[in-house]
Amino acid sequence: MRIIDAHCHLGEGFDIKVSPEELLNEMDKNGVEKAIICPADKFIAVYNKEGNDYIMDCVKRFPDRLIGFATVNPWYGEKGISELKRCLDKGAKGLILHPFLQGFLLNDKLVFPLLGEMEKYNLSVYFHTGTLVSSEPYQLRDLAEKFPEVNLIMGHFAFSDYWNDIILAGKDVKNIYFETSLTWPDMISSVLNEIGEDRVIFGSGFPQNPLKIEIEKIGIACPNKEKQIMIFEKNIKRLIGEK
Amino acid sequence: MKIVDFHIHAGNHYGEPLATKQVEVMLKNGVEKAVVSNLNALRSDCHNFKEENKWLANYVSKFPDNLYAYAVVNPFNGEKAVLEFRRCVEELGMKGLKLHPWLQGFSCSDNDIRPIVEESIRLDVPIILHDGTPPYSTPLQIANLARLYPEATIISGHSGLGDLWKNAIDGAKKYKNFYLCLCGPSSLAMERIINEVDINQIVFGTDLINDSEKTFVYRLHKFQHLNISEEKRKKILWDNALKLLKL
Repeated sequence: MRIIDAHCHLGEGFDIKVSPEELLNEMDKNGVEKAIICPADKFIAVYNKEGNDYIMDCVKRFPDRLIGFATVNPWYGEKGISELKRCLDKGAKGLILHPFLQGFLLNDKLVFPLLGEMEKYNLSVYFHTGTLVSSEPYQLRDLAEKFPEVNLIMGHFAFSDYWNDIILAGKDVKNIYFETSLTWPDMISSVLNEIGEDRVIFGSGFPQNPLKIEIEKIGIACPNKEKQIMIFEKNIKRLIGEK
Repeated sequence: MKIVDFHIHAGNHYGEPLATKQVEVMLKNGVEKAVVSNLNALRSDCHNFKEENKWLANYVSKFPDNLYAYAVVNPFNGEKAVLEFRRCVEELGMKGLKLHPWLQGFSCSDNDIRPIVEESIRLDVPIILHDGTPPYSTPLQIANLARLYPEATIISGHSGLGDLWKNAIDGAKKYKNFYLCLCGPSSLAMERIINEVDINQIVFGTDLINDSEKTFVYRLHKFQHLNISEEKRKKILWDNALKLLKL
């Protein structure tokens, strides 16, 4: 089984400190072929350029193993758009936004220009979701309906207490995908049953969670190997423009 | 290493609650003891707490060495709730009280909860509360009860979950009578909690519902995979829990 980990943070932030070598070591131990990496906390909040440069440098060092997602705080406006373009032109395969760390309402028109840019590049946006007020499933739905051509990833299945909302928010909106880090196996089973395996994406949230336990979680939630291929590999490949 | 799961449930909204099956799942996975709350009673549509508590007392009675019960009442019921809590502990042998401010619809800052906490001091049993979820169930809202009542034993049921685990640490560092149940936060958060909080204030839970094994196994393995000393692990999984249950 080929495994792509769709959600890892790298670098030295306020709450985490982890190098690409440490991640690669974890990947090797757990049979993970590739990982999508994005910057650590403070680089998501304010030091976007430094964070993006660090991520792109890691990708340059390990191009066969690491895939970069850039971040831009939408409050930077025009400057943020230029930064996003710079990263995408240098090979970033997606954008990660974190409404809580970056201080905006998930579906505020503040983010529309960034979504518009991602539409031009035909790439996806990963949203941290699950934090109340700023990062809610129905906000993601509203944004997904406004940008039907951009695929949006609902980070962490909106962990934790949006379990009542996530299926209704995402089921009939085809450009919403569900990323598994932090959520629990029964929740994954429910989404697989109600929505299907082609919209669930494996992510570990490393270094918040160890790869071993998060990979095992997918096996617990979904014993079916065919479906696992979609969750571990096929769905995310589609979103980052790989065959 | 022996394990007490401090946070499990039984109730018929999520499959059939059968004590035999639940204990089978526990023992199969190395969990010897667990403290159960009645999910039906935690819903805001519960009107017959006496009956629900009686049901749970009967449920755990078949496995006196494995299952222990939390009573459930709604603080809005005033004196009736206090009396029911007392009956559960004194007559039915329950080990504490479980409250879910978010599901039950009350605020921990409301005066209604005060007689309940005062009763828990008289009965000398802990109160475990759901937490991690604004606006009624954040760790510091729960911890404030520990501040108001230093003699009470207040347990955060989830240690702040994904967003608020740092506030669970803040609360536990300030109040010695505020305990954290590791049930839901990420591995990184659990390790930070274990390193920063007095080890005697930490227990472990899985949120097991009836016999649904998936989440149970995931949370057990996640805890077992933590990079902590065996000594600390034993305190969290066994010693602290037995003390709180007075076993």
